[in-house]
Amino acid sequence: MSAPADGADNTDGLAVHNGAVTDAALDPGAAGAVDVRETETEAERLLRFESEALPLLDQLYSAGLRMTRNPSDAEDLVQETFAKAYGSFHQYRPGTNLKAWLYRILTNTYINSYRKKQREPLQSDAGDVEDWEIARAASHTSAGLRSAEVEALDRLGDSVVRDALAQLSDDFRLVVYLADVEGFAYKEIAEIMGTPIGTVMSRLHRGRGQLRALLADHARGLGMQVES
Amino acid sequence: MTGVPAEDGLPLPGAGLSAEGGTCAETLARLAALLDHAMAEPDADALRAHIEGCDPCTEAADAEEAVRALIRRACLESAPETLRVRILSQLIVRRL
Repeated sequence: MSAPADGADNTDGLAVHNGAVTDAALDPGAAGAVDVRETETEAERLLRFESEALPLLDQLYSAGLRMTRNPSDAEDLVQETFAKAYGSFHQYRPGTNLKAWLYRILTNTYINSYRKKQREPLQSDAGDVEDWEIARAASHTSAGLRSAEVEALDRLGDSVVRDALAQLSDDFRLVVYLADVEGFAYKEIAEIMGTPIGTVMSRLHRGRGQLRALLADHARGLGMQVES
Repeated sequence: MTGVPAEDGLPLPGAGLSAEGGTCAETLARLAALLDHAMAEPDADALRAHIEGCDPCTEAADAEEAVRALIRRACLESAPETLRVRILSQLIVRRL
């Protein structure tokens, strides 16, 4: 699989990545102690799944909401994710990064089952939020927000941020979410999304730029005093 | 060390020079990587040194951290209890 050219992200590139989730993929380094998977009963495995994976439900649901932008689809997506995760749980190597492993299943499930059926007026083209918005943001500061703007957004509440994020194209939204909300490293995001790390970095850069441009617009719409 | 003054009197980052970490523009271009913990130590140190000594870059870094906190807070929600129940009962059914 070769890396798409910078910026010219091919959204189909993600759909290629729908193979089996293997335990080697996310952390090949784990070794040593006796593997609990070899000795546990089915009932013990279920208990282990419940105690390790289920606590991540809120996080996965939050991510599902940002992906599908719709609570009902998010619930179905997350339920399907947990079903698949349990079905593959014997492939997950205990002690490795379970959160990243689950996010990878969530992402694959979303890409393969949900993205295609969703009507998404804004996602036909990865550059949809328009680079002029970024250019404008870049012209008044250097693409970041200023403190006063952030304070204004803080007072506006969470829905403004959610709405702005929802306007990004799928690929940008996912990468920004995984980095800014979940704090995954670039390499982990590349593994979760099945894309080269360079693609992750370029999408993250552009996605963040678009999101901040949208947020800056909101802050300014409040009557903020910002130089033009 | 500091940027050019803007109309409101506050210096804007972007044009200043620093002996330690390069220009403000270079610093801001690499701010995301620094906050992502994606920068190797000697470079990261130089960048932090520039930011600490430069008011507009400090403001930009603080604002960026605040935006990230805002995004995190806005996005983290609780799953409905009904979903938890659906998942649990689905797991139990699988086991039978």
